[in-house]
Amino acid sequence: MGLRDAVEGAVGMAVRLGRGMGVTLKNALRPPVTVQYPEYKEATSEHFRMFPALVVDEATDKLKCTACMACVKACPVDCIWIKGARDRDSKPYPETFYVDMSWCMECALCVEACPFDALEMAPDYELAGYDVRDLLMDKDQLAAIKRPPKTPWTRRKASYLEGPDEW
Amino acid sequence: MPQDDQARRPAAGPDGRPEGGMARQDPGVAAAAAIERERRAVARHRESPNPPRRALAGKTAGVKEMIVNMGPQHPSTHGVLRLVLRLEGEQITASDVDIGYLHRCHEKLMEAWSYHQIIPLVDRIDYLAAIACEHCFVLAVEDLLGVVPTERAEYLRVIAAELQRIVSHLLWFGTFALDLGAVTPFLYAFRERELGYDVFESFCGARLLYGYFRIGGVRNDFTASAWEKLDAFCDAIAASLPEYDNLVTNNPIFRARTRGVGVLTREQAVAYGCTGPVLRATGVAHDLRRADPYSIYDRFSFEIPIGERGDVFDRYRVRLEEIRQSVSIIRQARRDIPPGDVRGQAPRFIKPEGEVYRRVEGPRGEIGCYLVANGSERPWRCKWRGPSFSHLHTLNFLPRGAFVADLVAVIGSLDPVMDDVDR
Ligand code: SF4
Ligand code: SF4
Repeated sequence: MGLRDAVEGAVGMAVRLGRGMGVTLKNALRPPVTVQYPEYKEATSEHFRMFPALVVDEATDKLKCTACMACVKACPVDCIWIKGARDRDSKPYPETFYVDMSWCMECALCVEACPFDALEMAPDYELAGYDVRDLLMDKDQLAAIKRPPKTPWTRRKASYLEGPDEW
Repeated sequence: MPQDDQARRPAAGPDGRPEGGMARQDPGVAAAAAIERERRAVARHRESPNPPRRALAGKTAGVKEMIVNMGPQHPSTHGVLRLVLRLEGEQITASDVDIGYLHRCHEKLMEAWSYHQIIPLVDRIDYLAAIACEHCFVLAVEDLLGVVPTERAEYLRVIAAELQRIVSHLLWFGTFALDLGAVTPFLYAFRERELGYDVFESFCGARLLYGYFRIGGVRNDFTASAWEKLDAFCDAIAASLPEYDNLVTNNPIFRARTRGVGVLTREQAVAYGCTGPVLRATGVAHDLRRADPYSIYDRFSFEIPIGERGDVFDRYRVRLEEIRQSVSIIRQARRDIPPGDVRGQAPRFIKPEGEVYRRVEGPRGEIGCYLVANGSERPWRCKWRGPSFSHLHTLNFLPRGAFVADLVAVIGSLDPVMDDVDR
C-alpha cells in the first residue's frame, strides 16, 4: 500500500462522511416533526380506542345497556363489574357499572361482545392521575365521556388553549 | 391426547397446598441458594478452558482477570438481559447469558383464557412484533377449526404483517445505531416509525398492541384515511432508506465497527436454531414466507436478501433490505386486494380439538405456536417458540475474543426482545 492508496482511502472516507453530514444538514433545515404536547395534540384517528364507555340512547336518554353480562364474560382481565336490576317497566338496566381503567388493556373485546351496541371505545387517552382509585370509573362517568370530533390526519390545537398561535 | 383438566391438577397435600412443585421456600434458604448459584457461576468462568481467540498474550501479561456483570439493567441489553463476562482487560474470554428477568407466565395464562381472549395476550409476547404473534396463533386455531379466512382479510393480514416487519426493523435500526454511539439515525428512524404506528392506529385503533386479527378474519377493514396513510408511509420509507444508507451503511466508522465482528458460521447458525435475519445473514436463504408459505405469501414476488459472512454488518444489511422487500409486498397487496367481507364467519364460541404446530416468519425469525386443544373453551397447552431465545444462545460463544464495545454491537445485531425470550 503506497501513499497513493492511503490518500485515496482518506478521500473516499471524507466523501462518505460528508454525505452522511449532508443528510444531517438537510434534516436540520426542515420543519420539526415533533408536536409540543400538551399545548398541541395530534388528532387521534377514527378507530383509536382507549377504554369502553357507555352509550346513551338518544331517543330515550337512557343507557342502552341491559346488564346482560356478555361484556363481563368477554373481558380477559375481568375489569368490568355490573349489578343488574329492573326498572318500573321491568326492563333490565345496570344498577352499577364499573370499569377499572387501571386493569383494562384496551382490547375492545367487550365492545364486540355487546349484543346491544351499548359499549363504545372512547379515545380519551389522558388518564393520568395521582390516585389509582380515580381510575375506577362508575356508570355516570362512563356515560358522560365526550367523544372528541373526528378530524383524521390533521393536527388540532388543544381546546383549552384559545387565543393567538404562539408556538 | 390430553386428559381433561382435572387429571392435571396436582393432588392437594395435607395443608391444602398442592403437593410438590409450588411449595413455598423459606426466603433465607432461597437467598442462600441464590448466592451459592452466583458463586458457582463465577467459579465456572474462572475454570473455563476457552482460550481467547485473538491472543493478546504479550499485552495482557500481568492483567488480572475480572468477572463483570453486564445487565440486567444495562441500556444496550434491550430489556433485562444479564451477561456474566470474564474479561482480560477489555477482551472477553468467556460469557454466560442469564435470562428469566421478564418471565410473565404467558403460556400458563393461555390455559386460563378462551381463544378469543388469547389474541390480545399473544400480542404481549413479542410486543415489537405483535401482529406476527397474532398471525401465528390465529393460524393455529384456524387449522384446528378448519376455518378459512376471507380473501380480503388475508390481504389485510399480509399488509399488517409486513407493516409490522418494517416498524420493528426501524426500531431495531435506531437502537442498533444508538448502541454503536450514533444518536442521529435513532431520531430519524423513530420519525418514520411513528408514521408506521399512525397507520396502525388508523386501521386498528392501537399503536403497539393491536388485537387486530380475529379467528377467520380481521377486526375491521381499512378506512380511506388508513389507505392514504399507508401510501404516505410507504413513500416516506422508500425516500428515507437512501438517507439511512448515506448516514450509516456507508459510514466508514460504522463499517469498521461491524465488519468481521460477531461472525456466526452457517453451521453454527443452523445448529443453534437461529432463524430470520440472523440465519439469512450467514447465507442460508431460509424464509418461511417461501420455505413454508402460509397465508397468501405465495402470491407475491419478493426477494430474500442473504449475507455472505454472517457478521454484524451482514445482519444489518439483510434487515435493511428486508424493509425494502416489505414495502414492495405491501404495494403489491394494495394493488391486488379484492373487495369483500373481512370479519369471516367463525362462530363466537369455539371448542376446537387436536394438536397443531404453526409457524410464521416474524421480524426476528420463526415464531411458532404448538397448540393442544381438548375440546374445551380453552387451550389445554400452548407452547410458544420465540426466535430471540435461540439467538441469545449464540452469545455464549460469539463474543469470545471480542471487546466489550463489540459485544454491544453483537447484542444489537441479534435484535433480541427479552419478553420474547422469557415469555
Ligand atoms: S377493553 Fe378489553 S380489557 Fe378493557 S374492559 Fe373491554 S374487554 Fe376488558
Ligand atoms: S354486553 Fe352490553 S348490554 Fe350486556 S352488560 Fe355489557 S354493556 Fe350492557
